[in-house]
Amino acid sequence: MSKFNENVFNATNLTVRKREKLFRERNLDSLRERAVAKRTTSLENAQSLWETTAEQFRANGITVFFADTVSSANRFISDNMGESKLIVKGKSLTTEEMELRQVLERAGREVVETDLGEWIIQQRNELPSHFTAPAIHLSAGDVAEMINHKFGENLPPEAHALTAFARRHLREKFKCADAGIIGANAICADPATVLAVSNEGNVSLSARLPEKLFIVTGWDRIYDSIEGMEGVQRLLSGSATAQEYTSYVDFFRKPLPHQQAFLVVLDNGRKALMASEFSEGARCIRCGACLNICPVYEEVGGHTFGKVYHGGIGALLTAFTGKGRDASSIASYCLRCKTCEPSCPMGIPIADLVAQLSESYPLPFYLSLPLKILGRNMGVVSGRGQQNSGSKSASESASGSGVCSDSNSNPAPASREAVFIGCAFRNPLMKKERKEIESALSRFFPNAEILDSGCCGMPHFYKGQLSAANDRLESIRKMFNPYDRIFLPCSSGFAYLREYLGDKIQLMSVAMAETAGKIDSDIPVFYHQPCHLKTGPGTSEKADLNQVIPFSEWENENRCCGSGGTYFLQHPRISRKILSRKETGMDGKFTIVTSCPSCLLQLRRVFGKARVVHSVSFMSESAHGKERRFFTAYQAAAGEEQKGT
Amino acid sequence: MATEWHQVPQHQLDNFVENVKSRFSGQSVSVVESAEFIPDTGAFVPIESKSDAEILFLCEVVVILCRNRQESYEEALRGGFTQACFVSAESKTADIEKKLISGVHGPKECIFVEIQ
Ligand code: SF4
Ligand code: SF4
Repeated sequence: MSKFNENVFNATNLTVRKREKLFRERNLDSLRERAVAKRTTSLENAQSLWETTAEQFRANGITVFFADTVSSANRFISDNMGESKLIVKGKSLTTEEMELRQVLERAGREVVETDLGEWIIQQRNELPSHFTAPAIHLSAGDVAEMINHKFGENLPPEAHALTAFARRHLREKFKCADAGIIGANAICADPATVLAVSNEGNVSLSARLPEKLFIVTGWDRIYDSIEGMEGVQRLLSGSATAQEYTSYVDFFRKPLPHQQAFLVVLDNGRKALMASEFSEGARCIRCGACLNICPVYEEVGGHTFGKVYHGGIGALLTAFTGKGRDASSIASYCLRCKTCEPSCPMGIPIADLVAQLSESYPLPFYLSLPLKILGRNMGVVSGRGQQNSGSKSASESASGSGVCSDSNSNPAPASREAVFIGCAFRNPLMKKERKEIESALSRFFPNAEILDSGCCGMPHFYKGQLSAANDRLESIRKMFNPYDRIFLPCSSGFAYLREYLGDKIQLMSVAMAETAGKIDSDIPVFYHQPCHLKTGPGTSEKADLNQVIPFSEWENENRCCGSGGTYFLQHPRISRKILSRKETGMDGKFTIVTSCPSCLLQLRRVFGKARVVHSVSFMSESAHGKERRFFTAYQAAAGEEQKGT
Repeated sequence: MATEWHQVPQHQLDNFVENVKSRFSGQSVSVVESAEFIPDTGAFVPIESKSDAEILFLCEVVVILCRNRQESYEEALRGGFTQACFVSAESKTADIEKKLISGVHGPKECIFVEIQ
C-alpha cells in the first residue's frame, strides 16, 4: 500500500516555487525550443555521432566500450577494475539501472556513494526515490538516526551537523580510492567531451583523484556538438535544482596524466525506445522537474511511483530498460493529468506516452467495464455513419422537445456551428448541469446544432484502449466534418479533440463569456483549472472567463484535484489525499467554477454539491437574470451544508 | 556569503589575497587561475593534473582569478584542454530536507576576483 510522505511534499513544493521564479526571472523557457531541436537531431543521428565520438575519445586515450546489455557493461567494468579495492562513485541513474554498485560489492570491493543523498540511502539499503534528490523522502531525523546507529555518533537531527560528518567521512574515501565511477549528463560529439553537472564537488573528486576513472552513460546521452550545450545545461540545472548553473559543470576530454579512463555506453533498450513510437520519451534528460510538480509523486514519492525511474516518464523508461511488470505498476499510478508537461524542458508529452504504453497492460474490470459501456454509446453514432445523426438545433432543443440523440432524418444543418455535449453529461449525477447546458443553448448558441452522441474517446485513450479511442475519433471526425466550430462544455474533451481536430474545437465556456456580460457576485468565486487545460490553447480559459466572472485569487487554483476520470476508483487513498490539498485557506461562503465534469464531481466530495459549479451552469444561470437568486441560493445551500457538517 | 564577486586592480591583487587568507585564518585557502569567466556567473577552470583538482576542491576557501571576460562558457569549450570545470559557486548540497549547506565536499567559500 502506498505511504504518504510529507517530506516529499514539502521538498517538491519548495523546488517547484524556486524553479518557477528562476524560469520567470531568467526567461529560461526561451531556451527550450533550441534545446529540444538539438536533442532531437542528435538522437536521430546517434549512431554516426557515437562512431565519431568514440574515435576521438580513443585517440585521446580513453577506452570506449559499447554495451548492449547491463550484464556486458557490468562485466566490462568488473574486468577492468583490476586490483581496485576502494571505489568512490558519483550519482548516476544508469548505474542504478545496472545495479553496478551491488555487482562490485558482491565481488568483494568497497563501493562508496559520494553524493550526500546517495550515500544516505546506500547506508539505509534503499533505492533513490528521485532522479536528482535521492533522499528526498527522508527527514533530518531519519538521517541522524541512521548515522548515530551505524557510525556510533550522537548527532542532532540538524542538516549542518549531519553534512559535516559526511564531509569528514567521505574526504578520507576520496583520498584513498583506487577507482572512481561517475555518470555523464551529456556527451558532445564535436569535439568529443563529457559533461557532468553537480553541486557538491563529489563528481570532480571521484573522477580526478583515483587512478582509474569509469564514466558510465546511456546511448541516449549523445549531442552533436558543443554549440548550444550551455543552453541545454542551463535548462537541465534550472529544471533539476532551480539553479541556472550548478556549482560545478565538469568537462572531460582526456584522462589526467596519472589516470586510465574508460567510457561505458549502455544501450539496454535505449535504441529500441528511440526507434519506437515512444521516441519522444528518449529526449528525457532526467531533470526530475516532472516529479516535483506531479500531484501523485508529491504525495507518495518515488518508492511507490517508480523503481529506478520514477513518475510517468519512469513508467516509459522502465518499460524499455527494466521489467514490464514494474512499468505496468508505475504506469497505473499516473493520473494522465498532464500537470507535469509544461515543466518538462524537453517538451515530452508524458501523459500521452503513458497512455499509449498502457495499451499493453491489462485494465482491472472496474475500469474496463465503464469504458465498455461508453463504447456502447459510441456504437449508436458510428453505426449510423450519418453526418448529421444525433443532432438537433439549439432553438428546437430549448423549446422543450429535448435533445435528439437517435434520429438520422434531420435536414442538413443550416448553420456551421454545433455543440457536442459529450458522455460526462449523461452521468445521472450531472443531470442538473445537463439541463443548464441545454438552457444555455438558445441564448448563446441559437444557430448551433446539438450533437449528443456519447463519448469523444478520451477516457479510452488515457486508459490505453487505443483502438477504441481511434474508432471513436474517426466517428467524431466524420460527425464534425460539416461544422466550422464545435463547442464543448467538457474541458477534457475539448483539450483532447483540439489536439486532433484543430481550432474548430472550442470551449463552450469561453464562447459564452464573449457575450455573457459582466456577472456580479457577493461571495468569492474561485476558478479551478482542470489539468487538461494546463497546456495548449485552453490555458487561457481563466483569463477569458475573468472578463465576465470576477474570480477571487486562490493559491490552489492550479492544483490537481486527484480526479483523473476513474483514478479515484483505482487509487482511492491517493486521489483523496490529493484532493485534500485543495482545501487550504477556504472559508465557508464561496463558489468554485470549473469546466471539467470529472473535477466537478471530485471537488464536490470535499466542498459539497452547492459550492462547485460548472462554468456553463454559472454563466447560463446568470445570463437568465438569476444571478442574485443564484448566489443567494448557493450561499444558503453552503450555509446549510456547513450546519449539517 | 559563501560565494563572492570582487573587482580588484592588478596591483592590489596580492594584498587582496593576503586579506582573504587572514580573514579565513586557520582554514586552507587555494588560489587558482581561470581561463575565462562570465561576470557574476562563474569561471572556467582548466584541470590538467591531479594536483589542479586537489587545489580546486580540497580546500575550505577557493579564490578564483578572473581575467578573460566572456558572455558564455562555450568559447572556452572550443579551446583545447584535458579536463575543466565551470565553477559558479561553493560546494553545496540541499539533500537533507532541502536545507542549503555549503562545503559538503569541496570549498565552503568561493571568491571570484575580477582583475581590472
Ligand atoms: S500525467 Fe500527472 S500523474 Fe502522470 S506523471 Fe504527469 S503529473 Fe504525474
Ligand atoms: S520527462 Fe522531462 S521533466 Fe521529466 S525528467 Fe525527463 S526531461 Fe525532466
